[in-house]
Amino acid sequence: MADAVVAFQEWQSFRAGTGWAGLIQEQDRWIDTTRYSSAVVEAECPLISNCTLLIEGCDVQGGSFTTHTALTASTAGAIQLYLQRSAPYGSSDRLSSLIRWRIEGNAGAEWNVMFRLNLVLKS
Amino acid sequence: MATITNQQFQSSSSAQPGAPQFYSPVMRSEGQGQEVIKFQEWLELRGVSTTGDVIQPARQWIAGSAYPLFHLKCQVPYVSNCTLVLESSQTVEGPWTTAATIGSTGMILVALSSEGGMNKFSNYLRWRLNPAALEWGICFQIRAFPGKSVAEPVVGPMKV
Repeated sequence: MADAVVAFQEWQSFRAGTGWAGLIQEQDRWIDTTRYSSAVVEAECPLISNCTLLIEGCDVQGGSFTTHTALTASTAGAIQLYLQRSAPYGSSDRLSSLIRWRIEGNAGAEWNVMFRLNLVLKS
Repeated sequence: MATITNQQFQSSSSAQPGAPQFYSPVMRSEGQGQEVIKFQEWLELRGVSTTGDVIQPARQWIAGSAYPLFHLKCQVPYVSNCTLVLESSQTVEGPWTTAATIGSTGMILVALSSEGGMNKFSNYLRWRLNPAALEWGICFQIRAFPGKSVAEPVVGPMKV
């Protein structure tokens, strides 16, 4: 299995008014990483306000999701996150079988975010 | 322009051999296994007072002559000083007539029918943004669920 780079999410911006609690990436865009041993998530987030951008993973459909990283206004910018399937890894650094993004908005205020995500997968 | 074919429901990954796969078990199963058309992916647009109407690109219009009924699920988390107009035409050239308008936030369900009795549409379907003469903005997504007739709605066969 060759290494691969996936455009996990092309440049996307969201804006929501008061009362909108958040958004989840559509299920058909989640990434199946089962054939890979490690991954690097490259996140670029030049604009984020009143919300949190979460990179999450789970191993079983319908299972609970683990937060791999959470970007907020104070951590915005460009980050890289290394995930691996084999130990040793931290509780949030284990590569899950499915990776997705989710936005948790501050429902009491207008929020907006602009971001792009790449995923480098290594076999 | 979008036509309603199975090709539209395939994953857009178009993966090369060995490339990672998107997890796509439900491309056709939003609702109860029914067909779904990604009429408009998430889109945020903003403009200033001098902006004219914004029209969906023609390649994304739905040519829905095979389906006399559509249910549209519109998610609109933000809208300010503009109206989202769903409009239809018998031909690509127009004239375009308004089938429905959306001017508020929320998850809005719109039923369109070519058979009368509901918001009327004919053959081609597209969206258009009609901004006010002010700074405006909108963030939205639209999914379309085609049905074959009013008597055979898109919710799928009823199990008894």
